[in-house]
Amino acid sequence: MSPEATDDAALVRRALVGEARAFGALYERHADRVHRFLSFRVGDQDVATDLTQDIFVSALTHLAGLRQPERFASWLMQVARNRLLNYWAGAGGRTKKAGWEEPAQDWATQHAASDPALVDPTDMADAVGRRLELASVLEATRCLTDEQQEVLALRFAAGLSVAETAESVGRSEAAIKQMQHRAIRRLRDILARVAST
Amino acid sequence: MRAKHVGSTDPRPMADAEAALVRQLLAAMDTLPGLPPEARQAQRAALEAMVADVLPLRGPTVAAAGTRLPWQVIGGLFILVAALLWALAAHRLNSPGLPRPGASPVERRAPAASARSGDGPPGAEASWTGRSRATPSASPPSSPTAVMLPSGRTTDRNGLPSPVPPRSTPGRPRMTLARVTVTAPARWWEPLLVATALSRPSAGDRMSSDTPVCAERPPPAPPPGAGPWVLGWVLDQGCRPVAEALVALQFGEIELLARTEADGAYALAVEPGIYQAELIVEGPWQALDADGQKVASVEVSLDGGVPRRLDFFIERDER
Repeated sequence: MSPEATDDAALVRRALVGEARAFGALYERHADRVHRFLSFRVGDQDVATDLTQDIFVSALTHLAGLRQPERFASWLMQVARNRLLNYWAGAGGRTKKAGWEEPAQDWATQHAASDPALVDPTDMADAVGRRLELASVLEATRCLTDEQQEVLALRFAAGLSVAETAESVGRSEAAIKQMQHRAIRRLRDILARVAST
Repeated sequence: MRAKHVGSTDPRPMADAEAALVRQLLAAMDTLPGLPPEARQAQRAALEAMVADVLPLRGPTVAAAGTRLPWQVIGGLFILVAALLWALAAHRLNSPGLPRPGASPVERRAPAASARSGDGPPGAEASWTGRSRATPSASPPSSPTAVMLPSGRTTDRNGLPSPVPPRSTPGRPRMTLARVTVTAPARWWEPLLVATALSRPSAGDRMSSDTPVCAERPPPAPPPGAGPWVLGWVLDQGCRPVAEALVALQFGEIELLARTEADGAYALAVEPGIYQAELIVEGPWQALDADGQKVASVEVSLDGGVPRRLDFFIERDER
């Protein structure tokens, strides 16, 4: 058991006896991974922020039902997945947003103002180019199946291990590895096709 | 079945390309915008304010809860009312003396398949779930009597283990688990272990050495057909019961928790083995350390088939 898991379990136990700060610490520890997961899946920062709060409220109200506190991280991501499904199912079904180039442009503008090292036009061009390249990788993931996107989000945005991802989505570890492998290969093919055109 | 590689295609460049893509994907994920700091602060404050109403009846009120949480607040209030009714009923039914086997189990995790339930109140049914555990080493207490140095676990504000001792509030006594006596019982209901917490007004002062002498309580009835049980009382220095304390038995990844009843009694069904027993109490002890709770930790060895008694004596801060 990893130290993080031990700490999560201890915090969960303390929260269960009414220690508010313990749950605050759990929030502090996991809020970013939940938010990143949602940002990737929803493509809208404001929505991701609101959903993050909803997910932690839901986690708090159901915390007593968590039988294995050391598995808090994967359990929390299960809660996040369920909340996301409800969000998409609501209002007649929402569509996922794409548009990762906008953050790249925002980033370039902000850094041009704040980081003198990037004032050099060549450096700036390189940095923006790199940023747009990463944005295109994110964009390309939209061509993957929903399951594949979810696995990539849990593994690389939320930073879950294969085992935690498997627990979160209710699949075997082998299935997750296979799904990730297929997703990466497909992503590579998509990017190669885009580059050739 | 594995597919054969046809021709002379070397799979390595392909694997390298995929590894590079994974790195690129990780970097791309890092570019995703983070949680705005102001939203983070507001959300954390709102969640912390909710804890008292949603979880057990302790802590601050929900007055400071955020504006986006009406349903959760309503749910919390509902739980609050239900818990109050339960507490009233438990108070009326309470009879001092016998710890109830399986009293208020908060959580049990162990691989043993069979659930043991005693004659206790609802909630006594032990549901054993969880993943496999290593076989605990069953061994009786190695010596008839042992004295253990103070042993406590402290955590920082984030719940991380802290090497520093608990911080005492100025003007308040600091409670230390001062002495633990382990005795091999001639009869199973005799105290196996007494964790005595003694107060020490400040470092360097002489520590009180009187262990409270409480009238012997009627021995708890052994649960029928049960294996090793751990049961006992949590009492303060005036032999008053300490309710709502958490007694935890830990063996590796396995942790069993029981909450004490109004008469301070608790009971836990366990597998044979050596466990780390912890006492976690709040309330009048809240000011005694930085985290508002006191944790005492001792080791207890359990043989098969024999209930063991484990009493905790702690000192109430009456200032």
